[in-house]
Amino acid sequence: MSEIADEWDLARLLEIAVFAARAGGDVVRRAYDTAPEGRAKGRGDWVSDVDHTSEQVVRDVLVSAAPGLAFLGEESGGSLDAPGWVVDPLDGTTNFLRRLPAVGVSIAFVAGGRPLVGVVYAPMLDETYTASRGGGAHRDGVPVRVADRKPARAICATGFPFREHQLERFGEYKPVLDRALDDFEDLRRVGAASLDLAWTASGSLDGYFELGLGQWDVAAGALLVEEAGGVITDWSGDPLAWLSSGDIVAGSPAVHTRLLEIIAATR
Amino acid sequence: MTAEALLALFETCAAAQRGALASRDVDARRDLTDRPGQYALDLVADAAVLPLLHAADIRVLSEESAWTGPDDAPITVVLDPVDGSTNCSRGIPYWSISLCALDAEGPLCALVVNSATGQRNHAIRGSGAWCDDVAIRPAPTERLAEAVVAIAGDPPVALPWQQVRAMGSAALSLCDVAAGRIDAYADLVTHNRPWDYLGGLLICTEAGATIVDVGGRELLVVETDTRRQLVAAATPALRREIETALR
Repeated sequence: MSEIADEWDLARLLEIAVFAARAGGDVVRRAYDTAPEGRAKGRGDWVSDVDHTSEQVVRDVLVSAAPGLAFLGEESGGSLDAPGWVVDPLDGTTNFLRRLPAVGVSIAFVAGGRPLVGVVYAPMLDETYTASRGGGAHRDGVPVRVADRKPARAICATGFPFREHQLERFGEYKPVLDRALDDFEDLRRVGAASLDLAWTASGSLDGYFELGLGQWDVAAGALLVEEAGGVITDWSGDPLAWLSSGDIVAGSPAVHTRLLEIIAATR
Repeated sequence: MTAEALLALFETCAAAQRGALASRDVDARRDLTDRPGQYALDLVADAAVLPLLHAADIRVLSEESAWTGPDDAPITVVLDPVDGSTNCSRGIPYWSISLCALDAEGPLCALVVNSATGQRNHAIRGSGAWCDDVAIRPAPTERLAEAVVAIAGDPPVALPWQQVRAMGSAALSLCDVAAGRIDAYADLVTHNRPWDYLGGLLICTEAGATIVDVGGRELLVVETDTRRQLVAAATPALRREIETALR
């Protein structure tokens, strides 16, 4: 892994990603108080004009500052066969449309199937989370670490499978939710995966589990958690497969271990 | 005191609470006390707010200090100095102060402020409800399948709602219902007490949202040992669908 990371100027890529995230965040913030027209994209999932505009702005910054890299965006698609950017220009679209401030702009640089640089910017809360592989995780420039709470004092974030194509997975999800509520102090459902992961990295939350997310939802936030001393796997404990499947378990080492135990016990 | 004067006093209380808890580096406030679920920060906020209310000769029912102030005061204020204390202790930006003034006729005015973001929700009996001084009303949502529902606790079944939120402050979730940011709030664990919900209740009803106890019990109770199981919804049709699903 380190060989792949060594091929890239991660400090420079992080700088570019932060600039792009702030530019996208500016679009989001300016639009927040006006009412964008949502168009149905599927059950529980809307896309707004702001999504498109933010992604265009982010993409323009990334392409002009670092030409020749691949690009995968939630709105415009793309592929990651080659090293490149993975972008969610507005994570938490439902929150955004309802003026709930938990929204994020998420940008990762991914090579060899692993994120090497990650930025999550929360424009309505003015929090910037950054990480580069081997370089630690930071909030607004200050180093952050995952929390060291015992599982009994832990609060984890989660997301219910709600999209049409995920509903069949509710049977897989529900027993884990039930056990997690028994084992942990409480759960939160924020509605923005990038912030769930950023707040796990900073120790506000202790862990996070969800099924079927997009790469753009989790690539940056997962690196934040890893670089903050936490652990990321898929639901079977695989340390790499989560990026392609979108089935993610994140947490401090102790809470991540407990989450995997809970999942194993329900299977 | 008039509702306007009380609201001005409540603003001062909210500022005092934020001032007392503003510093990010006071780690001691993150500790739990010997009372279950109570943090040091709850006591810090209570101590900052109570003197301001007492100075106005108001009787206070606070989550942290129960009954204080003159027994014969014409105004009672039900206070939760920090609703969402766990969020506050962890830096999750969803915690609040809730203040509700009651006179002989019931709730007169209320203020609920998200202390992390500064968002202010208030209501005056018979006059309406506002968020950051803009009049609010709930969403028109009538069907659970189209609703974003905030919950506390574990849903007993896969309710056919569109999306779920669980954010850890009942007071703020009620304000979110009142302002149309979410469509409903459902307490699945029966733990809400008057200081959690009386402020949000007035804001909901004045905005036009509907709020009930699942068992049909009276919500306007000013007692320390009362728990109610709330369902608040943007519309009566949505509320009925949630109540049916929970049975």
